[in-house]
Amino acid sequence: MEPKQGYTVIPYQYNLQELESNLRVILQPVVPTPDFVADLKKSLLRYPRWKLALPGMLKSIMLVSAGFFSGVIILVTGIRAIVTILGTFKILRQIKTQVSKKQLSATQTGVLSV
Amino acid sequence: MTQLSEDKLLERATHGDREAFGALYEHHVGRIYNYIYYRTGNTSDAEDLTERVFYRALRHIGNYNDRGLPFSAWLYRIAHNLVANWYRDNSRRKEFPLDDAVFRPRQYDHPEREILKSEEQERLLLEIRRLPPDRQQLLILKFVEHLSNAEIGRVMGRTEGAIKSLYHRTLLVMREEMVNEPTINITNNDEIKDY
Repeated sequence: MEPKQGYTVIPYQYNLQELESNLRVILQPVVPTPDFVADLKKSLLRYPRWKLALPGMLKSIMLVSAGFFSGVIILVTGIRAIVTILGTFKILRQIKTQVSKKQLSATQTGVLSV
Repeated sequence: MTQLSEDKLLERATHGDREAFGALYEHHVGRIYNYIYYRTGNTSDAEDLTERVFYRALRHIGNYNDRGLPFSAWLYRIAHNLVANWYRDNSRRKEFPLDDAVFRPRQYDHPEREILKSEEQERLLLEIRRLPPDRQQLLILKFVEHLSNAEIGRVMGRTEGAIKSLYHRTLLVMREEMVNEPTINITNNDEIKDY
């Protein structure tokens, strides 16, 4: 690159000490404004206690309600499963009865025809 | 504030003493603000996030568990999480205003030299912001808070040796980044003439 008047384009040739000293220059402590510090302190000290307890309360309410609804869902599902099983048994028994009745009638018909 | 008095204040604060929390706040607000300021790059976000840090601390101080780490480590962790959320929420915003205080020249130098210095400093600050969060935190604690490696280790939950090593690697990475991006510099031979 062509050198400009009074300047030359050169790559950075930092050594670590130079880098450290530049960091020291750049990273200076900054001070928040006294108004900000005072106002925030005031509002922290006045922050209502019930609001502090709110996240804990919400958490407890959420846990209890989640437990309750899970319990209800498990109970309902269990009852439905039992009802379904009982229903299936009933159907099976009915089928079995019908089959045996048919067999019986077929046997009787056979005997009569003989 | 001595460690003993901080411990006492902390104990009182965990039992709901607001005045004790206020004293802890006054002691730590500056450093938390500094940390957030250098992570976000502007005063309004630094104020907003500092406020959130202390509200969150106030809400959870009752659950504070003393694991032998300084109280500031707990606050830094909250600040770190909130800054991470802030970055996530503002992920579209890539550049930050580099406002006040930081680049104020200390004494009068040649105006053009000042401009070049300022550009170089801006670049360096941008390089810092490109570093991973833990490295940024390390630099802020070292140069802004002037903490020793051992103290930084306690805050960051690492050993002194690990901090030393991380610091050295950070400097090497930064130097490499600066070397890879050549900039206009004034050579020793070229004097800027007065107008």
